[in-house]
Amino acid sequence: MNIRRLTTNGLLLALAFVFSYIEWLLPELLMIPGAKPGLANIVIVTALYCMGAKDALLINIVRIILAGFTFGNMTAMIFSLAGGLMSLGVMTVLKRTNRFGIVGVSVAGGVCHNTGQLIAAVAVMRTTAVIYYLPWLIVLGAAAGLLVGLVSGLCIRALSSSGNGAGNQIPRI
Amino acid sequence: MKILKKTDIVLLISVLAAAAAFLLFWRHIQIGSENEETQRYVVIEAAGEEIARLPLNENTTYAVEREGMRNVIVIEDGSVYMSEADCPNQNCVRQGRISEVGVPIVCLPHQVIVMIVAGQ
Repeated sequence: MNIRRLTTNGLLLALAFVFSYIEWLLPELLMIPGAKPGLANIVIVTALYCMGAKDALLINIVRIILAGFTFGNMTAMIFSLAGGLMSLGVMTVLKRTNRFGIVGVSVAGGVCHNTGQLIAAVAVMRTTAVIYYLPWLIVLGAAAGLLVGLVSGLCIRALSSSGNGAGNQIPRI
Repeated sequence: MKILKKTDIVLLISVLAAAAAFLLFWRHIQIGSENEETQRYVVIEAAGEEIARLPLNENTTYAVEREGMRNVIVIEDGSVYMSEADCPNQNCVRQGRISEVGVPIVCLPHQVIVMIVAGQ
């Protein structure tokens, strides 16, 4: 890992961590118990496009562990990991197909994030009753993914057009 | 790098359609398994095990207390809600009342689930 990659990843991690914290401070942003917009995923999607899947995965895992130990709890961490890994896996695959734009990739990521969490819930609670939430989780995940995708797309566009190759922007896509 | 492609919109619509299909399918199953006179029960589960089954038409209060965790479930006028819980996020309390078979009240930190089932 060269210095530029290291520092960029560090910056992105810090940003993702701050987003996690903001989201933790504002838990009822959507007036629906437990529903969150997934602000930190703006950083993860941006990292996926600008730094690649490996770095995005690294940033996401470290973020989840940091957030879990700082202001979360063990249960929250398990759920975040299940959602985060599933989401990033699917997003990586969809991005590789080159058939989807950032919004499509991110929508799929949002839906998979919630589905992954539901699977974790089934495993932790040892019950299938929670599957009733699936349709709502899909809708909320798609909405969050849409938002995250649009913001990430605009961020990436701005990042790749700013700077004149003076070495101060993150790598081109 | 494209922000939005046509395929994205197709993906979004198909995902929402899948959610709607699931919802309709479950509604259909519920209506199928339940007729007017069926007695409904409130089933309370903790850590995957059923710990209580109470009739929905009798007003009661039931407290789940285990490993220092407390959830109070109130059955009132044909609906059920979590009136009190000492869990960190309080999502279960905020979820409010349920009176239909379907989406359960879940307290994830305490692994407590309250759901309504149509009895035999």
